[in-house]
Amino acid sequence: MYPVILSTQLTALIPLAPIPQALPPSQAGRTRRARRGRRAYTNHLRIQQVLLPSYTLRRNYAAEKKVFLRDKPHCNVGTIGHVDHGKTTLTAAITKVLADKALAQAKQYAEIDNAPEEKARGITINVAHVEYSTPNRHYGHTDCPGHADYIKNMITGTAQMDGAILVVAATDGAMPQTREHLLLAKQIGVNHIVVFINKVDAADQEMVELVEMEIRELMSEMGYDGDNVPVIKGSALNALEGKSPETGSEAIMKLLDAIDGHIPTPVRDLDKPFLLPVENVYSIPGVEMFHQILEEAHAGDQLGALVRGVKRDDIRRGMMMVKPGTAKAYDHLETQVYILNKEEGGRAKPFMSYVQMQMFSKTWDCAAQITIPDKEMVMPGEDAKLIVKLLRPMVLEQGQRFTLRDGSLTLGTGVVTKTLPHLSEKDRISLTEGKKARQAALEKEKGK
Amino acid sequence: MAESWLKEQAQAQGWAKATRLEGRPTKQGLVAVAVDSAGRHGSMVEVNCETDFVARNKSFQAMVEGVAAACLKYIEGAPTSTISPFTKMHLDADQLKQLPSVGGSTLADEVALTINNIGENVVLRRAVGLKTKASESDGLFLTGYVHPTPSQTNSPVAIPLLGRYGSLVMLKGGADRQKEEIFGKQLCQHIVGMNPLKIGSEEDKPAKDPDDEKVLILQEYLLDPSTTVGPLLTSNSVSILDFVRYECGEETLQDTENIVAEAVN
Repeated sequence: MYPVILSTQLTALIPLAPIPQALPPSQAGRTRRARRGRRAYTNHLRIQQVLLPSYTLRRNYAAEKKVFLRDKPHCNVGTIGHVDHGKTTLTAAITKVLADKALAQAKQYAEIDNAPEEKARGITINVAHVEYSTPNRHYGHTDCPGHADYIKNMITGTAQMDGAILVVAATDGAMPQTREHLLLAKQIGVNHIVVFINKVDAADQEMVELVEMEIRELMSEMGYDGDNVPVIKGSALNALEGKSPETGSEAIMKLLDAIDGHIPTPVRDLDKPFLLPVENVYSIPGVEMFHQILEEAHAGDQLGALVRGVKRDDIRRGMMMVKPGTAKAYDHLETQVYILNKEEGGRAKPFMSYVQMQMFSKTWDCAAQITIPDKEMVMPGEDAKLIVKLLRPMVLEQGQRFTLRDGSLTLGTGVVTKTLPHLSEKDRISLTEGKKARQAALEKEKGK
Repeated sequence: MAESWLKEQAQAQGWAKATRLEGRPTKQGLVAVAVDSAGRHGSMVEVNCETDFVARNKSFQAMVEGVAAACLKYIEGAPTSTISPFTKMHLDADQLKQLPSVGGSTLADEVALTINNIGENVVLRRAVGLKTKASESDGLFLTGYVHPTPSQTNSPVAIPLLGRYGSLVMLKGGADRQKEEIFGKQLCQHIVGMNPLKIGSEEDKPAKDPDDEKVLILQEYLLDPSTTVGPLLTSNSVSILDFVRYECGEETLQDTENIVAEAVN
């Protein structure tokens, strides 16, 4: 029996072959000559490229972060709060205070304000990104204007928030919509919150204490540990203008200490168990096809793996090689999905429950039936909770991202929020049934 | 005494804050639809705010419901057209501000209180009211729909519905009112989902790409793409006299009025 080679996403590597096109004119002549000399080997070179293990394609976003790691662990935080309570001023103040310690680049208010539009996975998100470091950690800081933008952020995974800073002005206290801010934090899975009571220079001491009590109470009510949540009081404006350090820069440092201490460093994908999705299966007559032997593979690498003891037909694209006992196949999922609008390349029409779509994730794709638990239909440009039933079980885990497509059209991007119990044989048969049969079954159910 | 003084204070503060926040952009908000239980009168309003957090807040939602209820009350008391089988009224922001609220003040006062409460700019954008004639023998009735709406609600019709999209449809039915009302609601859902620009008549030619069809009777039916809306109306022996669709934050089309008037004649 021939050994089987499993290779992962080989095609994605082709564009990495060196293409010496956009070079300055001074080098162009030399390159042309060099290219002419090399032309005969082009093919040969290509093949080497494909199997060279040192060309790594960073596949998932967590591995991407590893690039920015430098010497400190990375953590993503975001600000939430009322539009007038000073989120942007606080962000600018943090960068200013840290820039004074050479740990960040100072950003002006205007640079952070009016979150620019950005495209991630084809989706338009309004989001401002800022980065800075404390002596202990490196931070990515996110600020979005609305609930929908934070949801899109979570779904695309562009800046998953590990923790949040809730900004409340001492002059106003908690607003009615602060409840909605905390609900959002719950929904996008932010479990660690630090509170910053801003504008303390404009309110008296008694008022500040009242606001603190109020916010602790509200947090407890919303299911957070309100009694122990760190509450820092200060004035972002003072910090930004370099005035009265006790409410200004010192308060900002206290806030950063609280973030360092209270928001744990997330487990990165590099520390997770081994998982290798299969992109393609080949049968090879011997080991001579290897041009390079790979001694060690890292997360995000593309590689061919020689696997003995299995038949070629037993292995297919979409299967995974994993550490035994760490992954399972599921066919029933709860997901949070953003449906692209027409401008983003999606379709113009809404869809309703029981629609069939093709779900793509890692290297697999599978037909799926969608049901909408909370609405009657989903309009383009909306996010929604969707229940997905797959025609056959696929290897996946909570937090895995996927795309929903219909023919050549990308309909939406989503994230698995929960795996649900397996479908029964009856459920699975009903997936392929038409509307009439489904209605008949419903009638029968009602009749009982 | 003390209570009325407090109320006055809050109102004054509200106005001060409203003046300060005036002019800040309001792109989020809610559309509310209210139809009385007999289906004879209906209203639809759009109220805008700055962030979608506020649109999710109960106190803001209660205020928008109040605005829809006030409009419904206004349209019930408004004079009925003697020529047309039904009456339709568009209200702009200035007209809305002057309407009496259910609590006795004006809607502008209610808005100022809300602005003081939530600290965001709030704008009454537009409203529409539809009413039939007093006699019920004409077979006319109104249905309304908003999206997103929880799929399991069976709320009484008179309670305003809140969402990001809304539609109000004037139908003329035959005998089976209960069945027609269900069909009417699905038609409203179709209008929200497929965004037709006019009802259309027999002279209208189908668009080249069915996905671009903007004439209601020629559109593929949302709930059953194998048929178009026109034949469905016939088979249900229902005719559609008028419809209005609101999408929160959309650019307004002043000419829908004219198109609809043509269809009625």
